[in-house]
Amino acid sequence: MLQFKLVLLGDSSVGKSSIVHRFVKDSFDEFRESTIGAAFLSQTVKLEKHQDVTIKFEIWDTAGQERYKSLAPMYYRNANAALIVYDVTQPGSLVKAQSWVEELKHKVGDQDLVICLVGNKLDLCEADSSVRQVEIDDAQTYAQEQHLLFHEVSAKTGAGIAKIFQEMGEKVYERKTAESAASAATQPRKTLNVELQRPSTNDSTSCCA
Amino acid sequence: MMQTLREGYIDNQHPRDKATPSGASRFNPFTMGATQPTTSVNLASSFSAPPQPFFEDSRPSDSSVYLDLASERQSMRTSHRDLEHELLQSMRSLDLMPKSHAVSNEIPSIFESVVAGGSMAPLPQEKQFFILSSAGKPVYSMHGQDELVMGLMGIVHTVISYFKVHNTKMHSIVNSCGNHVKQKFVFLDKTPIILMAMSSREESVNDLLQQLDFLYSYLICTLSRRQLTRLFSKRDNFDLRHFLTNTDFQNLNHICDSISNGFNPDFLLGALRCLTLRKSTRQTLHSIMLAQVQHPDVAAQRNTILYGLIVAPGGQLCSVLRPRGHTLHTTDLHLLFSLIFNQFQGLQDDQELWLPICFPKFNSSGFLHCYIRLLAHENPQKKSKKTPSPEALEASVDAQHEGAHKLVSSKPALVLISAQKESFFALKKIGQGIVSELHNKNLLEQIEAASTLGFTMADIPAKFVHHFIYKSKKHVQYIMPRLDDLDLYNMSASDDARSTFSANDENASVENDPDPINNGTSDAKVRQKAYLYKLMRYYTHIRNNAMDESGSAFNRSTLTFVQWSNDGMRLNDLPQGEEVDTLCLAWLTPNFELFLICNNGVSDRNTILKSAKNIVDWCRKNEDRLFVKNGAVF
Repeated sequence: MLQFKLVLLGDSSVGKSSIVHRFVKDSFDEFRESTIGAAFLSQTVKLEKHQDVTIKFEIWDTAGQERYKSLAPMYYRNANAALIVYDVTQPGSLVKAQSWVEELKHKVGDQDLVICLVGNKLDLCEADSSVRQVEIDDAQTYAQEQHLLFHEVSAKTGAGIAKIFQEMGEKVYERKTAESAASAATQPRKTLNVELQRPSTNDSTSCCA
Repeated sequence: MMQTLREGYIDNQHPRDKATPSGASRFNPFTMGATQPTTSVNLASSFSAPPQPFFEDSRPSDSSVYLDLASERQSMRTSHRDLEHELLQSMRSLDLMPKSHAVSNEIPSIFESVVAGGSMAPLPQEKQFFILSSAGKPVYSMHGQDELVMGLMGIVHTVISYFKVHNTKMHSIVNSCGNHVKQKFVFLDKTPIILMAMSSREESVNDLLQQLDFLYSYLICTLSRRQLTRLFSKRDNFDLRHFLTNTDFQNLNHICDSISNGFNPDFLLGALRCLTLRKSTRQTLHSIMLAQVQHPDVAAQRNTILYGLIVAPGGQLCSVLRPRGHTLHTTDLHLLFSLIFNQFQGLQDDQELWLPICFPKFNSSGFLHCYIRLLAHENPQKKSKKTPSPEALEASVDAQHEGAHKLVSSKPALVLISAQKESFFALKKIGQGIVSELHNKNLLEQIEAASTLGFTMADIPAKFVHHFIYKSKKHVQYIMPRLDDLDLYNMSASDDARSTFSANDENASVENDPDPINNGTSDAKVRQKAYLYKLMRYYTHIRNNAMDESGSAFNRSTLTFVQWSNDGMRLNDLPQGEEVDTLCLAWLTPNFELFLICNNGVSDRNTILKSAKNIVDWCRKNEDRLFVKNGAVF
């Protein structure tokens, strides 16, 4: 089975862990503890577009708190997909999301990475449209400019969650197959799996340096 | 209702305790702790409460019959519990149950406070923790009340400055009234952070310092000393509250609560609790961990893994993997376990956590990285589906128990620690190897069984002992009998027909419970909590009678009895119709510390001494089962 590394980034308490939880367990927990460090888990997705193709996402659910920011490169380096989450009721979180997009483009290189911008907590706007602080058009325009996938979702109701992962799955799969088809001639039997183990660096003591 | 309870010691030479002004009875002195263990003290003046709330002891337990049943329960496990019920019921109808004072299987409540709710003082708490910055900005207060606390910060700051200016080693203020200590204020200056504790309980200055150090260690564990210094180096008046997150405050709340209201010998003893396991089981755990680490692939990447731990619910140590010549500090492990069992229980079984954490006693300016995974038993349904054999019943009762205390998690955890932030996948591989071996050998079930069953007083030939804590100084670990013995019968009342023992308790409520709930389960929870709290205060008290304020024993080896008794009270005046006659013992030697609480009504010190010796013998004989001795060393 093809494995892809996916990382969730975004400001704290925008709902990254809730999105993962909805995707993996299809449930929602109103009182979620904020993530410390990062949580790793994997989930398979059956692709609708491609028959009999199931891929596996290895997901890094990172902490949004500023103090863990210096650890982020470890999680997004080598990633195949990134889910950048903001909260549609918090304009500041979109700014933060944009800075993540910048950082990823700068550090990872666009061509390898599928980035999806996700506005979460849509359920709050449905209940009361006045709480919306980020207009869908603004975010969408930005996403188009940057060539990002874009969705508004609600981890609470589950609306749109499965679709993001489905779409990301298709994208990374298509890229991978195109890539391996191209390199098949030159490098036969090269493993299809992503390289998970990185050579360690000597940067052992600092976390928040 | 004023009761005159008396506390005496084996070498009681100063019987000067009879008359004490009753007006002073609302405050807690711990005079005996500060002076010598030969002093005896009038209990009425010692504690804030006339020992009123005996409610929780109101079951017909004052019977030796009950005691015998309890001790034979181990051997009778196969028999049906209903039989016990019937037996007891018939005994009651025959009026065989002794009504007057006899050896009871319970311990009386003598520490309860009547102050709760009565006082209108602005900060009426018995216990308080403040954290502030050196510039005097509040960071944290245990009871909130920020507007009140704000004004106090200046005072705390002044006191600290006074200590500094006078360059004393002193760091505490004891507010006493005559012979009685009302409150103790202890300060810890960790510039740029200042911490203060207030207590009107029987804790020593050293206990409070340890507690403050733990709170400070929490801050370091999440921030590291380096970052803390840097934050304040920019601006002295930096507001740390803006930097800390909700999670941090929740964790601080949790730590304060568990120090103040929980049963936490970890802090008191500065030791880890160890899970009782068969020698061979523990050996297997060690060798599983060792095998994964010494696997050629892993061994090639040196320094990938520093430490490995398997820890059972409640922070009970099962196995330690460590490099030769290195151990982890108890405080560091307490911090880690407190995070695991308070914060990460929402973690899914297949979720793995990669957590940067600063171990303050290991290296306060650097971070280590922990791979954390909860170890779920393969079939969570199994337990509840089992036929109700006595063991299963006990297990399910224990499970409820743990639900009752959020402190206790129901899943053991595997922790692998590395100094390299990039080594997650290497540790994940090691971890997966360990987990699959644990499953193959059914070790998780054994760990789980051991952590819910443990051992009981009935396993040890120690007469009349209600409960004890034994700390092995060499291993810096402690053990104690399972805590739910007493409430077992009450606990089952919720899933069973009302048992004999709960009959009397139905209308009983526990002091301090604002809204008495008669629902079996919640009542049992409250009772259990109150019981544990009571036990904790006994232990704190007896320990501090054998130690001075700075936490060192009076002698290299010390044996101290503490006795509480009614002083000429008529039985009818006592809430339970039962006299308070409780004997406790603290025995400190260079090798071990033993604290034991006897059943109410036991006053034969020779018998107790014999029991104490038996306990020590038993603990030594079973050392391999009770403690992690060397661990898996690589």
